[in-house]
Amino acid sequence: MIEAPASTPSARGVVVESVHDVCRFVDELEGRGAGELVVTGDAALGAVFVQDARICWAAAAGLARRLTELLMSHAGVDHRTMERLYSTCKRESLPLGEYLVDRGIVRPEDLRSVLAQHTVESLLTLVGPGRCARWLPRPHGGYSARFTFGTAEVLSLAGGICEPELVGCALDEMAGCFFSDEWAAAFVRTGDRAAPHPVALYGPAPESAAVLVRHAKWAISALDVVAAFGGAPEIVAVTLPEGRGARALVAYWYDGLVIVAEGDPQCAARVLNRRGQRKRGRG
Amino acid sequence: MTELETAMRAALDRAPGVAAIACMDGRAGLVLGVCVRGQVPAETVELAALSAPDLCSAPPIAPDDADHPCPSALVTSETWVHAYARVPDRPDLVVMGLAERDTNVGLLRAWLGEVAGQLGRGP
Repeated sequence: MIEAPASTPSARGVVVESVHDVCRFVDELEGRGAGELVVTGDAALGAVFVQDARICWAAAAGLARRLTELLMSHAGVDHRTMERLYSTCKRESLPLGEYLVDRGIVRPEDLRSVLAQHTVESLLTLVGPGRCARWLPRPHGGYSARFTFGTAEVLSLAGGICEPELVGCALDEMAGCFFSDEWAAAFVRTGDRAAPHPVALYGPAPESAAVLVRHAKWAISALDVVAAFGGAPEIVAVTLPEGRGARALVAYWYDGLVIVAEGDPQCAARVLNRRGQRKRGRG
Repeated sequence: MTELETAMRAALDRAPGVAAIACMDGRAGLVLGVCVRGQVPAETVELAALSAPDLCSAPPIAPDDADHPCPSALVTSETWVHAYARVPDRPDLVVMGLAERDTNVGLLRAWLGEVAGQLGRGP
């Protein structure tokens, strides 16, 4: 949410009470340029770097060593080795993560996973009630898109960190029902939040957190409508109009989660088949 | 009996596995006709038909857009399958077919698509 007009054209205030606030701000930039959201309280708390509507990194005071720890666990190297690698990168002004990938010490997908984890953990540290940030436009950072994160992915990862017990179950269900070129997301509606929030994302992420939120609202609304006339709904599926890319959209309840997916016309049948198999397995 | 109801009754007679059919005008917010077979309560069918505009829609692509009308929808619950199809060239009209849960969903949708096509062509 954007606050009152900025006192200067290059810096404006942004409310950052939740990761969703940050994602919404990034989505509203509509891909324009790059910059830094600097979060301050009594002292500097940290920053989020944004480029081309993607979050490149977030850094929070007190979490500096966390990235190194995550890299060590994925690289399988001890502390002393990591210190040596870090010193080399510092001396030669090389980005540590990409240096580790280039040397074959960490796989690219592991680096991406580590950077995402660290970014989202930092974001969760930075946001909170009453928190505000300043948006400072910056030159492009030259970050590779493969090591940066769309807001849909960030929002889902943040939800997953807050509700870790739901993630495995949600991903198993989505992987069992949908192909890897279809996207699906699992949402949970907790008592303290009016709108459902994502806890897991499967397949190619939609273009923004805003898309995820719109789909969640649609799903909840459709499932509620059905509950009003048809009892507990199993699934709601619609054929999408031409020109939307995917052909079908489905929504259903699964173990307390609302799952939404965009996929081919058979995706609803696959969900129903899987549900039938589970019932037969229990029976 | 109106022409629409006659057409719906004829469609229902052709599909022994279908329990009810209804037609809804989404713009007017009116159920134009309901035909049921056996003990299916007409009020329940009518309520499901009234939900057609909400169910035959997808979330908008742009943030400020309205929901997008969709050509068809399917809803399953423990007991029933509801299939919805918009009438071609008259997208405000949505027909709904209701069948028991163990029905062949593909056949139900195909039948409903044919019915929607016939209603679009008129008498």
